[in-house]
Amino acid sequence: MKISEKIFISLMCTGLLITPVLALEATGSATPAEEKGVKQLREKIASKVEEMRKKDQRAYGGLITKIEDSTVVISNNQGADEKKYTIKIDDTLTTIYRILGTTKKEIKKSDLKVGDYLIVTGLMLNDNLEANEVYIDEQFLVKTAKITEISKSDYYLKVITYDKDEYILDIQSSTRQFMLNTKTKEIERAGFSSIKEGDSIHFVVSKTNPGEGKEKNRYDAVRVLVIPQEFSAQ
Amino acid sequence: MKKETSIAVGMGIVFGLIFSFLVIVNTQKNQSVSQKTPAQKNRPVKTQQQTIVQPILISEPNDSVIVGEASVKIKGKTDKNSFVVIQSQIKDISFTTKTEEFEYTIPLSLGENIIHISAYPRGVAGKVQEKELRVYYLDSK
Repeated sequence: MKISEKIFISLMCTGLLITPVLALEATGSATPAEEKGVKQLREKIASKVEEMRKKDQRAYGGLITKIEDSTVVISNNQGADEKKYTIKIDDTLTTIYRILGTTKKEIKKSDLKVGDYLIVTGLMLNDNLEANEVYIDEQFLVKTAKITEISKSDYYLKVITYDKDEYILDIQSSTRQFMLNTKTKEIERAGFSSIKEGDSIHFVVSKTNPGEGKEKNRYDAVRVLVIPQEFSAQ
Repeated sequence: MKKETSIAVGMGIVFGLIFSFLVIVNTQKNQSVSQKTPAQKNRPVKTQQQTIVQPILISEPNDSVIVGEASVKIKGKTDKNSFVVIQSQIKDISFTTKTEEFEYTIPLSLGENIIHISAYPRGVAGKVQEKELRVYYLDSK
């Protein structure tokens, strides 16, 4: 080997050894602005990963039909498509809350009772759910129907949905009533007297609080939006 | 002329008159039909129209999804110029679609949110299209 070749090889080896050391020094001497940028990037990646993970996460809702030592059975109560899930509650891993408007309050398993409406998150395996979080919530019904009868004296509406389910909606002073103005296509506040048979109605009722002494499928309406029949015919 | 002969001749005359009257009326009817213009003959018959209505398709969000924010974007597809109502337990939103696609952000309440989407296609009475989703806003804090 020639001397020039030896010098060249030793310079290459020295370069290879020095480069990582210089790189380490460069990292260590990052400016505060660079550090802030790196931190923001990390946070963005973390939130994106969390978002992607949550995108496929789902929850299960249903009414409690049975409570045992460490399990609760819920039913989604949807007629022919009724589905039952067994919820496994672990005293150390599962957290139970009650939703109160815009807040939630942690409660104990002993606070659960048959008939409560539950929302459950966790790992589902063959209709058995290992619960991470359990929430007691209010159950609502949101539907579209046709008005078939109006009682002007007792302030109720008989309606039939497009799935042929019949309901009686009691219009109370607390019910928020809206109607579509067919000319302007704006939603406006409306009175009971402007509702007619044959109109379409979008309604919200609380299944948890249907009103006192109600028969099956009869509820105090929380909110109604009426679409006049003449609009549907346009 | 015998009495029977005169009755037979009289009946023959009466039947002849009736027959010729019927022939004349029938001929006039056929003439009025054949006098119609070709345009009148080819006029389309008004039949009951069968309108195909596109069902609502919701591409976003998935049913029973969990979200960490107090609002969610609804993205979907229905007939152009449909009147759409998006209803949840806390808010009603209505609008007319300018294209087949629509996109709207609606507020959520803590817990289960039932989102009912209805579309009234333009000019098709009684053909309301519906879709229902459940979205769970579960604040992890």
